Amino acid sequence: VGGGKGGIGKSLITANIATLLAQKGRQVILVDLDLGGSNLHTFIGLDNPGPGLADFLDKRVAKLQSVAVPTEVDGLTLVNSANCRVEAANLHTAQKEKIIRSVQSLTYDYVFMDLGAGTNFNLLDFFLASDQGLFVLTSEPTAIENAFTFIKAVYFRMIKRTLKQKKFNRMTRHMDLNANTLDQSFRILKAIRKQQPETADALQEKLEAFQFSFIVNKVHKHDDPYLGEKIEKVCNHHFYSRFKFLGNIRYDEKIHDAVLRRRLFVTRYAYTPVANDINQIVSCLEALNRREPLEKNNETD
Amino acid sequence: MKQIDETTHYDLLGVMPNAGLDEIHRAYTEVRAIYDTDSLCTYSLFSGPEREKITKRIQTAFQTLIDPFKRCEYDQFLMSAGRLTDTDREQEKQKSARPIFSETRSEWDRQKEKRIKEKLNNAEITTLKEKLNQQTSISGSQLRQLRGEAGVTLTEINELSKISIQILEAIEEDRKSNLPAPVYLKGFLKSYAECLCLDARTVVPAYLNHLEIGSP
Repeated sequence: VGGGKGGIGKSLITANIATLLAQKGRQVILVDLDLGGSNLHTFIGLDNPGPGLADFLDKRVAKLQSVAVPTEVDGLTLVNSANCRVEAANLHTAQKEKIIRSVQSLTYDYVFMDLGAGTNFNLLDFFLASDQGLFVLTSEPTAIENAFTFIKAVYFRMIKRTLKQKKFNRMTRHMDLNANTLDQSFRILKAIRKQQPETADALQEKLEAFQFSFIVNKVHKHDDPYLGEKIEKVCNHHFYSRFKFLGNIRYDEKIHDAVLRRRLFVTRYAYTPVANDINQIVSCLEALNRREPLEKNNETD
Repeated sequence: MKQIDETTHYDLLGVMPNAGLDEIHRAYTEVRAIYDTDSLCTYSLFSGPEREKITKRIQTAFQTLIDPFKRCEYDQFLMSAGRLTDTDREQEKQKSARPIFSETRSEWDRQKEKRIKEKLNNAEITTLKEKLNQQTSISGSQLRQLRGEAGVTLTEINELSKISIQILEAIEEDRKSNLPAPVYLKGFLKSYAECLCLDARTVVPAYLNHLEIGSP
């Protein structure tokens, strides 16, 4: 679960969605990739998580799967990064690719990658490695602004990565790819189409293939409940990628309480409106994956 | 930006090609609100020029679709481009909402009016009509006589003029106590006279004169 802004509930939502899926009998693994700001283990109540991602990166273990630790929920395992070095946030490209490769080879029903805030390349590449990019926003303008920054960053990263491949290199060398408005993405595509229509088609296909889904968190009583639907509509209109709004999660003091106690919200307050919201989102997510059977079900968080 | 130049007006507003006017109006209001500068969900997504372009595009879409002629022209254009089929449009007429307060009468009403007028324009009663038009005092029974000879029933007059049958009867039977206040009565008489193809300018004062109501 990405989403440009910090403190909007990415990790909390990841932990709780994963728990609900595990309770439904799925094999779920959480990978904490919020390097340098990892705290996912605390959300699910593991104080001393033991082995983690650091052992894998430092080659003390060969497989990512062997640093996965079981949690108090059956079927839910966690790869934590609590014991990573403090400068872990600045991953080398080789390390990043190693992580992506091993995450993609995991054999679980659901793989959740919990990402941090921001839009740095490592983060974007983790997000793009998923089959479905989930992002979180809240109904505050700051969060929405950052969410759009994040979407655009992902979108342009996709365009750039495709165009940086060798066969397009000659054509795009003179082109200004440092875009930040949607208009520019359109112009780039148009320019390519003029020279090589099939290349433009390939790029467009690639953009269309990516599925974003998102959640609006901390919805207060007086907020617009249709914000998510509107954003979904607008994004589907203006991006080539597909967008799916999964649902609102209302604001509740009890969430704060669950975090303070370092317990999972959905197990501590299983029968509250908020838990119900999360439950509905999980069903929505499952329906989305049923509709398009995928080889691997990697979710980015 | 995807498609904003390529989308059809219908897709832009999110309505079906057979949408009615009220539906288009509602959709337009919603879409406008979404792309407004104050809109929470898009203010940070678009730059100024982008927003302006989109807003203009929405305006054009709305103005085209609410104008029946422009819409027809646009539909023709879409069909020639193969983006709209006849079946998409066909349901248009069935689906568009019928206004509650229509200024034009329905087809059914018009046909009935035509039938009644035909009966009254019959040559046999023309002389009677002309006679009534010239009288300075007309009684209710004379009106009833004309109606009877033309073969028009009270129900037909009621359906055409919307005057209640009780009042029509009271007029024809000269029952002064059952008639409404003069100001309303004048209106009713005018409609009634018009229904019978009489000249309301002479018939209304003549009837009031007969009953000695007000001053003509």
